[in-house]
Amino acid sequence: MKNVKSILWSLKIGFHHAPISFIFFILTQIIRSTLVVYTTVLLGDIISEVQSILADKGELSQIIPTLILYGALNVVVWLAVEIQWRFKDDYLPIRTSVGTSKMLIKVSKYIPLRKYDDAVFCDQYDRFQDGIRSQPRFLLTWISIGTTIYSLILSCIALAELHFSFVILLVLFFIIEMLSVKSHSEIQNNVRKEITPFNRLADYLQTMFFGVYNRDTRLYGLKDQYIDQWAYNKRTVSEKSVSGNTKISNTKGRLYFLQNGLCPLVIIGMALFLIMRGVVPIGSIYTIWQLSRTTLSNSADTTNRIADCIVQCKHAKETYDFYIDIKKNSSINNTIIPLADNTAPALFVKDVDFSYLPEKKVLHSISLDVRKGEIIALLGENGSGKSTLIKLLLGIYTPNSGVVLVFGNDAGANEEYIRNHISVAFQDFCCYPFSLRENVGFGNISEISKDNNIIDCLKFAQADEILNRAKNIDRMLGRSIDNEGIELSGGEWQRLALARAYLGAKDIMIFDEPAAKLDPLAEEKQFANIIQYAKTHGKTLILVSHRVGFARMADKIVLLKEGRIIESGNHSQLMKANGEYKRMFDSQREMYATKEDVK
Amino acid sequence: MSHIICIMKDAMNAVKNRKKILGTVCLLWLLTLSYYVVRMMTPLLQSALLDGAVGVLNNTNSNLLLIIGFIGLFISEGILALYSSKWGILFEKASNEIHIGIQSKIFDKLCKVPYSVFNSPQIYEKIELVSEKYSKYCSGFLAGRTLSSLIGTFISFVFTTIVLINVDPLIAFVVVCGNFFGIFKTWLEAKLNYYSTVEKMKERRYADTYKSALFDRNMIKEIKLLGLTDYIEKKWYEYTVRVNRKTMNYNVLFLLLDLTTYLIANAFTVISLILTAKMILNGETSIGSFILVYSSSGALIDTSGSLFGAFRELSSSSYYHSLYRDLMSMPNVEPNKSEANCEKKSDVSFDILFDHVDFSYEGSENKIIDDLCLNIKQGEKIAIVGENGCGKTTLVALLNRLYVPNKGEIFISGKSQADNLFGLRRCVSTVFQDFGKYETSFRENIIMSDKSQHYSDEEVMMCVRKTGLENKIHEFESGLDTPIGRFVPGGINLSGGEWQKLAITRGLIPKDTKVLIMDEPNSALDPISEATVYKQVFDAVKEDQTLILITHRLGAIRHVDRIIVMDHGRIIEDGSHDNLMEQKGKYFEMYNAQAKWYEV
Repeated sequence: MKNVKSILWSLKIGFHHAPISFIFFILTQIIRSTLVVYTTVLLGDIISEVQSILADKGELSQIIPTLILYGALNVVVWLAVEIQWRFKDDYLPIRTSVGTSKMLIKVSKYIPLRKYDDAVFCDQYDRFQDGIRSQPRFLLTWISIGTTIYSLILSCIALAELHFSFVILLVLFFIIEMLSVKSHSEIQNNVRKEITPFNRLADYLQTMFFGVYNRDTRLYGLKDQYIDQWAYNKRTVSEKSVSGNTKISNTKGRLYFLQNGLCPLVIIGMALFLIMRGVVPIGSIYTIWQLSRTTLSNSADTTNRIADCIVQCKHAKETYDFYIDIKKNSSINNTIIPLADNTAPALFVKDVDFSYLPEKKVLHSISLDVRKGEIIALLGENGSGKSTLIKLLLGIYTPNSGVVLVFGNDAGANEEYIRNHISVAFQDFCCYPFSLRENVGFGNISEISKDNNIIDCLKFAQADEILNRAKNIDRMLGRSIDNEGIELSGGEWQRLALARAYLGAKDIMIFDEPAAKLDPLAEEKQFANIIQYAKTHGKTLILVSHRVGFARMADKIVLLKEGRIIESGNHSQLMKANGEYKRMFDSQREMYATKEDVK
Repeated sequence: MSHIICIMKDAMNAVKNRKKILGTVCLLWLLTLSYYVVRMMTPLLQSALLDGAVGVLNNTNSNLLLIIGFIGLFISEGILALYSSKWGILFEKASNEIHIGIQSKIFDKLCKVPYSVFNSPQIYEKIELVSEKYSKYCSGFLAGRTLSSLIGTFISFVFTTIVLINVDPLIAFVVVCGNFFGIFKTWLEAKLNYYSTVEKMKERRYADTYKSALFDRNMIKEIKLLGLTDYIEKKWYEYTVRVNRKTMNYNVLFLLLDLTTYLIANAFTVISLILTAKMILNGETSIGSFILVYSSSGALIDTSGSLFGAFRELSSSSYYHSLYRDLMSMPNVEPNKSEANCEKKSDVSFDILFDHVDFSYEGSENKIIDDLCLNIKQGEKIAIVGENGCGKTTLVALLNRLYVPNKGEIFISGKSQADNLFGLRRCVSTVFQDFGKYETSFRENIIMSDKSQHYSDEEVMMCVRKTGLENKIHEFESGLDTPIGRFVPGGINLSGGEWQKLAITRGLIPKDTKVLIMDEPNSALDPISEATVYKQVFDAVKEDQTLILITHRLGAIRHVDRIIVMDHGRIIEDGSHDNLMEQKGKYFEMYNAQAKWYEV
């Protein structure tokens, strides 16, 4: 039952993207199938008529109208074929791809950000996207099956008018053909499953010849090894797929003999027999021949399509289940309308525990209280939980226990609220392959057309050099779209990410390693700028960095270790405390200490 | 047209060593040609059958004709069946092999051409096109998909003309005439199709880039937090609509062309059928000719329609072939295997000399390296510092001869760098800033930098300990063989810092290293790991090994022998830490910018 529901859903969605086009498509299909059968019968009649005129010494003009009608109908048939072909290959894909993409974008809005860290979910999501994109094709398969069956029936009716025995023969054959469907689709499925890992490995190896991997491949001298491995994997894929197809064609081999050798022979023989006995007219030998051939190839088509369809139906069910899941989860969100509370602390974190996997806690009873306008430096080793804490503040994850409040509102409750109150410059910031304007303007989309604001932010982030080089604020960055685009270095991209953060500055600003790719002079200026900005605009600032030296500018330093806050306070307090912070500070200070200091 | 032969040659070369495939290719051609012949024979056989039947009906002795028609049709149907069941499989087999052969050649070449091609987007784009598409054309040509429809159409025309002339020259003329426009149309259509694709390319690229941003897992976090979905969707839609409108305009044009073609072709068919009917009634020919004329003209319309693909492939294949030729004619700059034998042991010193080297990236006037002279003795420990974009990383690439200087030369132990490439590749170990992240096991990630020798677990673990990655590796049961990344089932995820440690370990492993280069090895590391890694690396480097460090963290490099400060592609300061501090130049300024944060 559920299967039927998912299939119907898929068909409905597929239809929904381009309803008029589909109706038009069905109509042309029907017209075509009808006319094909009709013209065949017509030509048979013409032949018979010619024969009878010959026998009765009639006039040629008797058949001319019929012939012209025949020609006109033929034009329609050919044109219908052409329309269908263009429609299927060109028009329908572009129409439906707009629809499916829109639908996917809509669905992507329901998906909470944390899901993107879940590898299993991402695999499902990828398959779901494929599923949605193939829905129009799925519908087309069904339409094709329907119309071929329609033309099968038409042909049978036309044949039955000549003699019922032909129909019996054809139906018998159709049943035999249908028997092969199941094994056919099973083989296809198995082959697909078998070749996936080989294909994946081959794809991976292929990337080893491009970009930075190419560099390593040549420096390490791994070229020949990679080529051999790649060829091996590709060859395996090829062999498996060929052997699968051979199996299918072997089972079909017997049918082919039946279809193309035995069946026409019997039918033609029978037709001849009937003609001799005068049961049917002479022209019908042509009609019978042609109709039985189209019928046979149609029935072969139908079985192939049904085999495809069975595979697609499984996919449709998966897609449907995923969709229902997503919808269910999304309805929980966006229900509370929070009120901004100016008296509440900017950030209030109490007793927060968090784990990605049940058995392994990443954060242990974290408590943190940040006043409005305070500047916080978040320090910690690689993997100490800094990034996770930020994700909790942004509401991407919800804590296992404890509360995270942003201006008194639950961080996980409302995405929109968080978006309006916290801005982040991530360590792994995006490098958008779009224009300079867009790269900065994305920080605050409503200001994307305000050139002055964008230029100000570029200057403040020390990125005005990029504008000088680009000459035009609408110049593309990177050359993936436009060959005229300009290439940026890692340091320049980072400056752009900061400009973006300035443009989209919210009450709370989070900077995660904002200067990791900058040179010493630019780095110092960047930190000074960030802090100056926060102070003059009264922003709450959270600065995450490995550079302990810059942390001393903060009002409060928070030190994380193995998911716990082990120290917090300002620079001089922590130095006095003589703990982990002092050790970190000293380890870096040692590097800069003059020889006298060391003594 | 000469490119057809060139493409066939390329394809032949690709499968030269696989005799079986050549057999398959021959079989494919045989099948295809017999397919066309059979299709041409069918009208004849059909008319024979009809004539035979009429003869029998009229009690004339035409049993032979009937039997010939009957058996002939039986055989021809059998051949058609064989064609449709076997052709696809054979073609799949042959085209896969050709694909493998051509791709292997391209990959091989990609690792030999000057690495700078990867910096030039125009060339890079072409390379991507070639490696995606060229093999398709090769298999299309060699295995007969492209050419057979051309040849098949030719056969059809000749054969049909002969057969119809036999009936009546006038009818033959009418039928063939009706199809000339069809052939012209397909040719025109293929041309227009090519233009319309080119015309839409840029807009389609915009549309695709915007759309992919919405589904890119690495971008989604920022895009969602910034609320960009609507904006990007709008942009995508705008470009898509533009592309679609263009496609539609062309399609309307094509349909009009189709209509004209079919009107003409069918009008001529009707005329020829009337003529035939007239002849039959006049007793000049048999009733079977009716079928003959009808089927022949139908087959002609059919085949001339199938020319479209052939025309299209012909015109675009010459473009892809020229791309392929361009790629293959690029110079080889990498060492050959044979060089390895003549230089078994190079115990000579490994001094590096940059002699007035100039370098700028292709298509840019900006000199990244500007008249640079630098001498590095074997065993020196050197640090290179400077602002973003001063040319540090390019210097490393030049030293590895990934790029070739525009002017000047680089000498390795007195010999030109180009003459000592094999030694260079073996003796220089570099940890790049944009290091590769290999989604295989820990072990593979580490030992890939030197596959020429065997490394025991102990040796690998020794290097792992130096970078502080052993705790991570011990976390997993399979240890060094734990897979990393998404490609392998059960692969684990590494953080940025862990990947960096892994890359450093990879740089430390090769035994023959004489020069170890590290380009910002610490940008993602926390202070403690940073200090440890530096200490371990300094300890690991032997007395006679040269160390070149590039970093923005000036505190870490105070103890090296020599610090080189670069600015706009030149060396502006060169000396030990103490020297440079006394000079009170750029280094002094940069050092203090960092050091002041650590004053107590």
